Amino acid sequence: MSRVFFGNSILSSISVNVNFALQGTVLDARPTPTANTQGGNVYSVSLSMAAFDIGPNLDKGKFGNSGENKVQVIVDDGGANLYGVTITDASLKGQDLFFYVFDNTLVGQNNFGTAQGIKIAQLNTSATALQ
Amino acid sequence: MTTAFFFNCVADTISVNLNLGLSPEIINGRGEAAENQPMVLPMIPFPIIATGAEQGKMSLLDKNLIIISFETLQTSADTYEIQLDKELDGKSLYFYVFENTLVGQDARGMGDGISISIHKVSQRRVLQTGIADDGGPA
Repeated sequence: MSRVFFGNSILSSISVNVNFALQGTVLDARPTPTANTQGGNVYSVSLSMAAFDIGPNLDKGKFGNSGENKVQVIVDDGGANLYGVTITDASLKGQDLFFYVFDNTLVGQNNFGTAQGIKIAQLNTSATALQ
Repeated sequence: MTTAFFFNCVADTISVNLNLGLSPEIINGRGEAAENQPMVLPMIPFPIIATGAEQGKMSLLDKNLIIISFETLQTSADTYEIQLDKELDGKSLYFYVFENTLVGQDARGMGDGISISIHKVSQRRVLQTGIADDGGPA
């Protein structure tokens, strides 16, 4: 079973909701970079990550290899974004995918770091009066 | 302190996210209708505040953003904006959640001063094409 990971690259807590599940997964804020054991000017940062299973078809809380997956990111006290993510390359089936969540942007990669076959669109909404 | 009550009018578990909270509230589905029995509508209360919008609180001052997700009823979520008139200060309000619609009332059952809009996707901006730099097939 392959999985899709969303890493929080924002200095605030966020929630990540895949395909409109009842609740998203809450991720801690990105911590301040700390020096690693190699010392010198090499720093590291540990990103909190949410993992979701990847299946042939999308579902609530499950990423799909077919169709446009809707990823809703809510930033604590900082607004929200809705993204449409489509896998356009069949060779990505069976691979883990990695997404980095930023303020107003989202970057996707496979395990090697290439973005080929991963299409991302930012979806904006407008309001129509009901009452 | 006045309260905005959200009633679940569908036979499906829903979540209600008021003003972009990280963890929305879950409401069980409404009860089954039975002869000579009242229909029970589960509800969740949110406080109404006279200041600007806050997570989990309904503002009399700003527009409030409501996201309703359904466990099985529909694959998408419904997103609404609610704007309240200041004349509603001191009144508790009642919102009835349906699929693709939301109805708001005061204690008398009147909708005066409660404006509700529904959000639909109107524009998309491609951030990442998924196509290789050499223009080859993605």
